[in-house]
Amino acid sequence: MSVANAAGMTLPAGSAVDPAADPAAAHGAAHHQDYEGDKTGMWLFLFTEFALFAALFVIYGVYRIIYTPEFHHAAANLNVAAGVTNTVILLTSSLTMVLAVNALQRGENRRSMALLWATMALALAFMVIKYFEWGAKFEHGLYPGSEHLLAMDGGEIVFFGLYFVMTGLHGIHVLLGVGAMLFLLPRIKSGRQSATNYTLTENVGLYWHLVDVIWIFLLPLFYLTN
Amino acid sequence: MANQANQQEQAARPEGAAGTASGNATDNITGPATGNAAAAVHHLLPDSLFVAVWGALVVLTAITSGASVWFPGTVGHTVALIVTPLKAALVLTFFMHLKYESVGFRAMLFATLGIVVVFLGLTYMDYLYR
Amino acid sequence: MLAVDTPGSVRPSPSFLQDAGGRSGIGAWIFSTDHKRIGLMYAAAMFTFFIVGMCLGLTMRLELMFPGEQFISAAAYNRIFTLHGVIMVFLFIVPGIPAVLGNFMLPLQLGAEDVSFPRLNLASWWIYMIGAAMALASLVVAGGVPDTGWTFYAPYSVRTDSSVSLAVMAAFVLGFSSILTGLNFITTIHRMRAKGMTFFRMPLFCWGLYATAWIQVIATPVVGITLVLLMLERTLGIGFFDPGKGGDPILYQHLFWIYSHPVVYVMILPAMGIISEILPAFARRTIFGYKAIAMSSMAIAAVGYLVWGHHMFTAGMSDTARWVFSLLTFLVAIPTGIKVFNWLATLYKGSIELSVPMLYAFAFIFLFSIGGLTGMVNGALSTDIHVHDTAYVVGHFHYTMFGGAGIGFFAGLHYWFPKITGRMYNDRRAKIALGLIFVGFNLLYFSMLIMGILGMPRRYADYLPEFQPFHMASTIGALILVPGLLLMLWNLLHSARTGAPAGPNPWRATTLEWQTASPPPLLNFEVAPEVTTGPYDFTHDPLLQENPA
Repeated sequence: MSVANAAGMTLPAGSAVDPAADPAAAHGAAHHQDYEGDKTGMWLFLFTEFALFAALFVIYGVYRIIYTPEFHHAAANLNVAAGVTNTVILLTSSLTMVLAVNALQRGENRRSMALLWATMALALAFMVIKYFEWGAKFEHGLYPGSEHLLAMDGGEIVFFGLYFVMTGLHGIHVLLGVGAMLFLLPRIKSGRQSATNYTLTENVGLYWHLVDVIWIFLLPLFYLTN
Repeated sequence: MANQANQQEQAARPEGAAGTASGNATDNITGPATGNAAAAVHHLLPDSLFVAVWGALVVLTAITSGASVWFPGTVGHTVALIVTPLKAALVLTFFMHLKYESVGFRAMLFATLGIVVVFLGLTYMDYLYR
Repeated sequence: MLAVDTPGSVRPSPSFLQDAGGRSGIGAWIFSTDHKRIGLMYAAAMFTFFIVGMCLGLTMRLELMFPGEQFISAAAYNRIFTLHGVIMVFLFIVPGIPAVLGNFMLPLQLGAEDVSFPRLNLASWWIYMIGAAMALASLVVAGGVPDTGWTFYAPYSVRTDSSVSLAVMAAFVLGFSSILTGLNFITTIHRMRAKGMTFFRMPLFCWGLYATAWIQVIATPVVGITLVLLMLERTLGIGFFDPGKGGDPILYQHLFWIYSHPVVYVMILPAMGIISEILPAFARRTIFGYKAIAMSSMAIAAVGYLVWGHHMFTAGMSDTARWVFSLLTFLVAIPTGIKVFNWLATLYKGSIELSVPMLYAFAFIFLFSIGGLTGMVNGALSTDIHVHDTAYVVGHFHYTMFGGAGIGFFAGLHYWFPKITGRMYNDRRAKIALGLIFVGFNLLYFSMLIMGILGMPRRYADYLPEFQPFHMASTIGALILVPGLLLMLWNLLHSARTGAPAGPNPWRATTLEWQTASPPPLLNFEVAPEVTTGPYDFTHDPLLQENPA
């Protein structure tokens, strides 16, 4: 039990807990050492992310069996090369991320930071390719609610709706992941994240791999469907 | 559904045992075996392992993409259906350390995935038989 | 809030009500990471919303007292029943027991000093308040209160001009709060149990919360994304639920009920946990079939994922889906029956004390049994077609949600009131309130069951004259129920200030929360507790040894 808590418990009647101490910090201190607990919480959060995308996979699954030919036809409009390139980029970013966690666990904070920067650079490359991909669709008049799209078959409208929603939601997750890494970097630099206390880094890593796993499924669902 | 309950029960058991063994939860939360320093040693894996996993993932990506480009249709779809979960499993097992976590984490993951499969399966009960 | 003086004042540590951990003023509450204060903040917010929802319900009942338009138009009636549903479901009964009593009692019952992530817990409360503010904002923004019903069914919810977008965003935000609470509870149960407390030595309320938390974590995101899609449908016209664009409105119903059926068990499982605490405490016997009750909670949570289609029997699903969902629905009766039989077996040969919490627990068993059995009629395909969308369904789910979850919540409030405030409520007033609630409730909702069978549709602002006697009886029931509820709430609030000191364990109950002071100190226990037996071990009860029952 932490010192602060032990002190709080043994105080005689009427004594106030030291008002100068940050109550949240003092109260939470004991919990932050629970490595397994923090990891459990993170995995539970990942389960909610699974379930979030699962709902979209259910929608995709339903419309795919209703509109099989339309889906195949519409998928031909997607750029397979861009999809596969992005897959390789994201897989590589997952590698740099896991190596960053590994480096931190060995106490090599500088190497860990360099690998995190590499991960973010790859994430950026992913988003740039995504940007050009979406841009090309928009140029062809393909965006939710566009006249060109609404003139198509119902199945194709739904396909592109799913394409934009699912890759868009995934893109938001990529950006959130980059934000988490930016939050992490100063903590590794200052040594608050270290070989003995790396829970936060590991959890950011878990989140990043989840983003990767979801993309692994999106690739065949959209790009490899023709 | 009895199965799911079972899985969650299994998820509970090792934790329950750990709770008994590791002393007061608020006093010494992680217990002697899973303390921070011990965990650091426990989880250290060679970088080369991760590079090898990454290589396998890239090869599998090449296989699915190749199959769908050169053998579009049934063959491509079947390959994707087999390879994609395999890729996800590789990421989960090694990058996400699932191989080195307690049974509880895996059980919870399988329970979650099982529920997702149920969502899709029961929805298909409607759409496949309309 | 509950400014309670220390009763007894022999404790070494001040209670959590006096010791704000160094904060003062309103900040001592709204920035507190103490699970007990957060629980009370939830209680303050929720009962405010409950009273608002109750007034909306009463308005509907008064309008329906006579056929024809009395004082609200049909359009306003649509908005009122929507708001009543949204407030009661999303702001009161779904977060209700876990957020108020779960937050307060879970760490105490586990022998921990707080939940695993106290700051996340505070964040959940703030997110809840933001969501609530958004829901209430839909009252004043252009378009006004949604008129879709709380289910927001497409395609009408896509087309109506009322502020559906804001309301579904509110539900999305509230869902986030629910997910974070669930995540926190699962981690707490896995990591924070006292020394010696194995999973099968946990109190059954914790088991109820554990099963609930799994539903919150895995089912809530599904409705979250569905509501986001509904909003995208309204703003961008993506077409997932619009037949004109290749979409299918029934798919919206699937996704909505994939969450919203399991969430029914989010409401009822913690209530069942409370009943499982109260019965052994006042029968002075260990619970009968502890493991069966614990596992049936998990089984109900699991089966809850398989039955959502029974809300859609008349929506146009395939015949196969209909009979499969109907069959699976009947499976829910098995774990539920296990619970009820175990509760009754617990009472058998117990030395029963008819205290207020016990009477609430009996009311729960009675009302919830009616709710469960009337549900069988809805679960069977042929009878459901007859009663679908009638007042019968409204009666049925009020028996389960209000008679089950709501009464269970009130039972828990009375059971733990001495622990929370350190004082005892007025026993006579509490019994009068319960009597009014019980009589009013049955008059109100049983009338609905009957008129539903006779063909009175739900969500109608007007009706044929032959239904008038039932509507009149129902409204009279509401006029008895509402004073009962107000008396109960007033009694609790008033007694928090003026009640007699209760002492640490007025019920001589055995679970860990009763082993510390009332109200508990900031860090819950003077000495970290150690557990050597199951939760309901009365072998050392002094009274039982003096007069063996």
